[in-house]
Amino acid sequence: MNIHHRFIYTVQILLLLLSGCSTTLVVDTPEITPPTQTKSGIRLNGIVTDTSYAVSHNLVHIALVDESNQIGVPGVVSIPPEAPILLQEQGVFSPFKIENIVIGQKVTVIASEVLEGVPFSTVATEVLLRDTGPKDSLTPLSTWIKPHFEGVIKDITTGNNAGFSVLNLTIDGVSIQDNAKIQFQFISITEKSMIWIKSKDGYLLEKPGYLVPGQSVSILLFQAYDSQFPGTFNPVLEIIVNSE
Amino acid sequence: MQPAPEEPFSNFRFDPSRPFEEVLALSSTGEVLYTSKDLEDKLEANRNADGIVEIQSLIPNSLLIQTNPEPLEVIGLDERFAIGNENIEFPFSAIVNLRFSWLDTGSPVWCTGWLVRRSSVITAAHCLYDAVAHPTEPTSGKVTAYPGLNSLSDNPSPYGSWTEFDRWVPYEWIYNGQPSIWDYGVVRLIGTIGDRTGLFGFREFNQINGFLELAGYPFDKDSSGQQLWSGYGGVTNLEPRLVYYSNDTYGGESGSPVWENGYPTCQFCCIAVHSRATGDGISSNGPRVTSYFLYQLLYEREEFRLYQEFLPLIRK
Repeated sequence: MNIHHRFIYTVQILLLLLSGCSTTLVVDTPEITPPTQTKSGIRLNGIVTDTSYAVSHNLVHIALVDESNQIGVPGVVSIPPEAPILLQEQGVFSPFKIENIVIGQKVTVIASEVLEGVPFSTVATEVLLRDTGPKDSLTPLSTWIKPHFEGVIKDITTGNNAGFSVLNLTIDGVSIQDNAKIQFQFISITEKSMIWIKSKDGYLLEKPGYLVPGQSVSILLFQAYDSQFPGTFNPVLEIIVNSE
Repeated sequence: MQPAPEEPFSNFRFDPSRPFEEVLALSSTGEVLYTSKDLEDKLEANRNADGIVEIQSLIPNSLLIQTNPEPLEVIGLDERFAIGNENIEFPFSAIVNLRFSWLDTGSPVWCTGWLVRRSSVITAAHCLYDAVAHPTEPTSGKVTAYPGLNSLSDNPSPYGSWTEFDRWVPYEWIYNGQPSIWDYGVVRLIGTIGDRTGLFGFREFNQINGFLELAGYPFDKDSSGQQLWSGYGGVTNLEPRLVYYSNDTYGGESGSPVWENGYPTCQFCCIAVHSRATGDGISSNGPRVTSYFLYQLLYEREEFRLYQEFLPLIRK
């Protein structure tokens, strides 16, 4: 190898190193991808309600927002490794990690089919997160659909259902659907219930210990209140504390 | 049911004197159930001149039969109609609300089923075992069955509640990654309520000329899952093991019976088990009653089963 060739070889090595650095920089920067509206299939719009199994099993629980029927439909979404997870901000899509998904984030799940049990379940072909998930953008379901009832917490007791610890609430309230004023019993806060408080910028999530008698609340149940079978376990999907 | 072992066939006690093709089902305790001549004869006895097997519905004399209203024109977004006091008339008396909890969440949920034997209810396999959506606890909790449940009726729970004795889902559902063609299973109840509700029949078919009817407990009509709704649709596609149809469906209707409305020679005979909505926006689908599924249904109907858990096995 003469000096000329050695010079060319050195320049090539430098170029390779520079191109390697350049590639690394591109990876570190959020990759901008074209909109994926071409993905066909069922589009499920809702919010994330549980991320307990997101990292361990690639699962998130969501509540599908069905505004025409004013219901939040519980579902389980499996996100296989090959399904892209994208954050959609102002028309721009960038990759998003499953471990960064948080409760309350707005989500669109695209899937080829939906198993129609309750909760529904599906395997996503693509997941679009429609907000970044900082505290001020978290969104209770009840901002789109009506809660089942509103009222005042009269009593709180601890209990157990199917091996899970729960808080049982008694609520003096009004049913939003039929405007009936009744006392709701057997309302249960589980570890999966979302407890929201209003902040100056939006909503924040709280722990069950935040709840005390006397608070004014809006409640969306996992299912409609079961008046057919007295004593039925009625888990809360979402409770918004409106005032002390 | 146990999680999938690495060698699923290694624990079974096969009879070396019988060919593998005669194996019908495998039990969770290692027993092997073989086809019987009685069962073969029963199947053949129900084959009509066209070579199609039709197993008739069984309706007690005391039970009124719901005369179906004129089929609706299937156009538009929602062609479903509410069942009222007809929940005490066949076939709606034999449609079952199945209530249970998934053990990983503890939340009460439901699916739909249909009585095929006096203590056996057909439903979707994913209501009984789902390792995709519930990987830590794939077997659902014990089922309570409410035949004919309908809060829109003056008699909302005419047959009371019945608890699960045992269940089976296809072996292939568990070990082959839960493919849609195997999305069916059976819940056996403690008690014989089917004697009072009547039993759905089932049949093979090559083509459907009339409307398909599907009835169940859709979440969007009542999010407590206690209203029974029915509706009509048409066949949109046929595959050897799946039926696609245009009936409006929603979460909570998995396991619903699908039958041809007004089919003359085998009325109230199911041709599919509703399972899922598809991404084309117009179709739902479910496993088709054909070949091996038919055999398994007949097995349930004829009470050849033993009192232990058996998983059916496909013959290649």
